[in-house]
Amino acid sequence: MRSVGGYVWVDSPLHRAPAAAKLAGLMAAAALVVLASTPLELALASAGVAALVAVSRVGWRVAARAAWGLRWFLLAVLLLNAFLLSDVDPILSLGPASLTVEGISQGARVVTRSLLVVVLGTLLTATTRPQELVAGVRTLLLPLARLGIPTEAAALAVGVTVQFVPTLLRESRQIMRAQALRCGNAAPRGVMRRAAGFVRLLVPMFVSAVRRADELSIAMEARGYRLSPSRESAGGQERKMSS
Amino acid sequence: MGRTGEKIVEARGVSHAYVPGRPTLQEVSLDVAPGELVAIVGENGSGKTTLVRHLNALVPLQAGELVVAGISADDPTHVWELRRACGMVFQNPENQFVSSVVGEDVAFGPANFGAGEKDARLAAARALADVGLAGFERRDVHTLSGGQQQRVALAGALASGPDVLVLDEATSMIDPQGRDELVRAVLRARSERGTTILWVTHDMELAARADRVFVMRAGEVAASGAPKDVLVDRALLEGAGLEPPFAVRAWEGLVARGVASGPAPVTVEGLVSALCG
Amino acid sequence: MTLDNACLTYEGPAGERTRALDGVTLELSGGVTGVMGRTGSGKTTLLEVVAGATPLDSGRVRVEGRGATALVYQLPERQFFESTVEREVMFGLLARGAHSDDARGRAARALALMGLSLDELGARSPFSLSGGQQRRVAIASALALHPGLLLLDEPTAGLDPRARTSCLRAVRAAADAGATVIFASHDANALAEVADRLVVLEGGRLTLDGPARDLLADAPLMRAHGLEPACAARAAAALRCAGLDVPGAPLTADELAAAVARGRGCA
Repeated sequence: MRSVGGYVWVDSPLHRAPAAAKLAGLMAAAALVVLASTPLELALASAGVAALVAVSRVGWRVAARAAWGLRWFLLAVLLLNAFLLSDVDPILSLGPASLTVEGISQGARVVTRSLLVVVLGTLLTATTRPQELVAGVRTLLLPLARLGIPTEAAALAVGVTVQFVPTLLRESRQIMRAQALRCGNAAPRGVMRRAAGFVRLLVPMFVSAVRRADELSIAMEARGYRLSPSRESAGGQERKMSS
Repeated sequence: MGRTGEKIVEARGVSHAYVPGRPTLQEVSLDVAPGELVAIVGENGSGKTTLVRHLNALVPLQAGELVVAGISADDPTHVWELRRACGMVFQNPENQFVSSVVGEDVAFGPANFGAGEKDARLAAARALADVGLAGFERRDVHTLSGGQQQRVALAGALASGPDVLVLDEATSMIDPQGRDELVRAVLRARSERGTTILWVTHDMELAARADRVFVMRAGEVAASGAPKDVLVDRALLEGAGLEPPFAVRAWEGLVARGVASGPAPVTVEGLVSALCG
Repeated sequence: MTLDNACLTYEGPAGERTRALDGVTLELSGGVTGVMGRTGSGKTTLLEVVAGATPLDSGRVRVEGRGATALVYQLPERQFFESTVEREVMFGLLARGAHSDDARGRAARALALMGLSLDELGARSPFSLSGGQQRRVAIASALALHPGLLLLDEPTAGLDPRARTSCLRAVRAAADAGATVIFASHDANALAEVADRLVVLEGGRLTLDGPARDLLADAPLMRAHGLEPACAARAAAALRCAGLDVPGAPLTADELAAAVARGRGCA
């Protein structure tokens, strides 16, 4: 049994909370996590995030899914910090790289912060439907709109992007499957092969995203959307140039 | 801004080239009367899409004359009037939505054309009812079938109250049930709103039900006329990369066997009445 | 290919559980088997399961015999990633460790089976081809693997009549070359031209299974299963309704004409 998309269909206080509040909360929580630096502060932040996961009832596996996907990246961040940050009192020296206590603790800090932010982001999408998220962005942008800053375009951009996510996810999954099948299901081994596989996924995804964006912008124009007020004169110039 | 006679679309010698020296359209002329259902057929690359995208200024007019609902496409300041006068439904339903909420998406057009929030919502509700999706405002477009999605796109075009509706391969990505639902909704918009329909399609069975058919070949109109005159011409259609509709092919077989004679019917219903009537 | 009581459940975005496959049992060897069913009836899932791309909740899939299993998704040309047609068609072979000369020969033969020439198109970008050519290149890259089992999801969708005809001819050629082909489609007219056998899926269940001609020519039966009958079947049913004698099970325009002529001859 698999679930499709990020939203997890259970009921919890977090699911019922207004999207704008959750968005604002995410930003505040992320700021706190980034500011936390001592082990005690980080432990408190971790406990807080763990409590939120428990309250959300989405399950530990779901909450950790995105973070697990980043495991190699996070490991690289840890190692790079551990070996390259400093060369004072090395525990171990390998040419120019030296493993230091300071490096290890800085790496651990960065990784812990990243993990917590990723889990918070996962929690937001798992407890908030896409359309609620868009409405939340609109609400948060409202004060800016009162100041005369055009926020409708920003809200529309978020809405359109969110609208495309399920389609692009489905497509990327299918492309990966198709390529794995063409390779005979032999999982690629080695860093270079994995990288090559990534490029093979990126090319069709990029082509598809560009094509979809192009088709969508045409559909939006056909329904009277003006990309900018100067659009009409731009059209006039195009006409003059081409005739 | 008087209507030009009884024509709602009037194109004279429209030519277009995306790349200079390689024309996509050459000297295309086309007249459509208000309320007509016109099919535009031709193989991929024959210029169908480029032609119809002129109608609401998605493609700027380079050469020739084009008047839609009394609005001349010659003047670039008419872009927004043209877009309001001519609605479009495209091939892929997934790539035309600006919101995942049905009601918000359908209200997008009217809002762009200056309707207030309440009017836009009313126009959306009416358009949704017209395509058989009354009460779908709060639904998520991703939970709908392909045919329903394409009807949402149709409602999105109808909500701005266009005089002309262009469907560009709008049935090629949905299943037969979805196609039938869409065709029914389009025919209803035509009879209830009097909307003129231009239907770009590969589906010869659909073209056979139009009032008139335009056959495009290599950027030119190779033939135009009533389906019973155009769709029976095998040589013409094959030259344009098409084949006659089923009833015509069956009739050819009957004529060859000496069982039938006379003009070929273009629809299955016509075939039945020709053989049994 | 054997599918034994296959079951698979998806959890949808609204938390609803959909039985994508519900106790499907199917045994195939050789020929072209058409799979029909409304959108969401489990056609694509069936192909993915047979290809081994999706594990089952319960039941078994067994693919016997030589050769790979190849799956060509709907709109496969949207999955191109190589810079030339030659590299695109050879990709699967090289990934499986084939020698490049050998791979080139197989690519050329697969393209030839699709009515395309490696010498002519090999150096071109697959993105620059026409829609019909792209579709056939995508099927050729599956055929180059010499699949014992070729799975096609809506291979004719979105093609213009000329491209559609060449695609159908190519599918038949692949089956005649010895591949077992599964052809999932809404297009009864396409299946009428190429399918030997037909199965119908409804809500993940197999509700019809038999010779393609017998099922496709039976317009009332097709409609009863929510499917659109082939034009010839629809016309034959309408003519019979109007009191005409239409013997046999015509599936094409010419077969219908012949049947009507026979009926007239008897009358």
